[in-house]
Amino acid sequence: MDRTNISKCSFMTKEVVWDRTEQFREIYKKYDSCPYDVELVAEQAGYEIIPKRDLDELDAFIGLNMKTIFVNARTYDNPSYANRIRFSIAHELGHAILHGEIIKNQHISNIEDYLSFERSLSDLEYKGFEWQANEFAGRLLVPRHHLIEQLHQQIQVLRDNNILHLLRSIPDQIRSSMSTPIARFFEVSDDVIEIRLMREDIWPPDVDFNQEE
Amino acid sequence: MYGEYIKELRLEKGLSLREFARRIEEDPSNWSKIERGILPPPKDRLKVLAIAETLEIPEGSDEWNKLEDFSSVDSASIPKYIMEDKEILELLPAFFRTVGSTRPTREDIEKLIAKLKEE
Repeated sequence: MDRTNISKCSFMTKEVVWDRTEQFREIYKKYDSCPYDVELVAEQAGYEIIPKRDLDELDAFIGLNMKTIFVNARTYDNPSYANRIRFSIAHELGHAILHGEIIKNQHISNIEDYLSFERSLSDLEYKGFEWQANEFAGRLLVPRHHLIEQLHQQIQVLRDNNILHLLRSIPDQIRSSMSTPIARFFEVSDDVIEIRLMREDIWPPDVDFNQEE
Repeated sequence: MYGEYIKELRLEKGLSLREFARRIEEDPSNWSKIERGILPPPKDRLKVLAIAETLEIPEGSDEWNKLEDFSSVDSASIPKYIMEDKEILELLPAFFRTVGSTRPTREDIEKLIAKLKEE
């Protein structure tokens, strides 16, 4: 089957990905918590998490069955990688939720089909799939309303220390500094928080500087 | 039997695989194999007690006895499980890129299949 001209990735806006993420969260709201226990929710949702040794550079992947999530056993049980693994599992869950149908429709029945499918993905399509899965993972692990709460707490810290003006003079540095405590709260990396602040359009924060002066 | 049942109990308690393995001081990779029926249930008394304590199962309760029964049956009868090619195919990565964003070769896929077959 010639797959080279098949466009597989339907390009979604971030809002569409967010809707799908929130639908998923709503279904499993019984297990909603902060930080989000993505491993438990994935298992409750019927996905199987299998730690696998010798996966070399692969952190995690979801099988073509869209039900089995393999994680690299070397990093899975290492507390230093806990946040990374959490994000990886959420990312693979994103593939299952957003791209499950696309994969099923490929009707892959042998290795040749598999290689043919894999090679038929353009870089643009591949990046599209990855971007969507990352956006799903970020939204799932860092819910917007909790992020806004955390941001306000950090702004209050600036205010309490009389350094609120730094938000105006060195906003990028402040964002980077704030990301660390917020990331700790959500158990994700600092980078995830920096991306969420921008992607959710809540940076720079709306602060009334006149009130302070 | 044992594996499926204990996974059910674990999820009822709201414990992820990693958290459960941590609490009973077991390697999560091995514990996953026990739940999937690839490795036999643990026999060590201390381990059995740690599992029961984590799942809040009192000794002698119905759940305890059920676990013991399943454990006895599975310990005697775990067959060597060999995955069929079709099953392996379903486990290949839906999206596969290496760190350097290079496309997998046939050799890469065959290597991965060999790894997936190892249990």
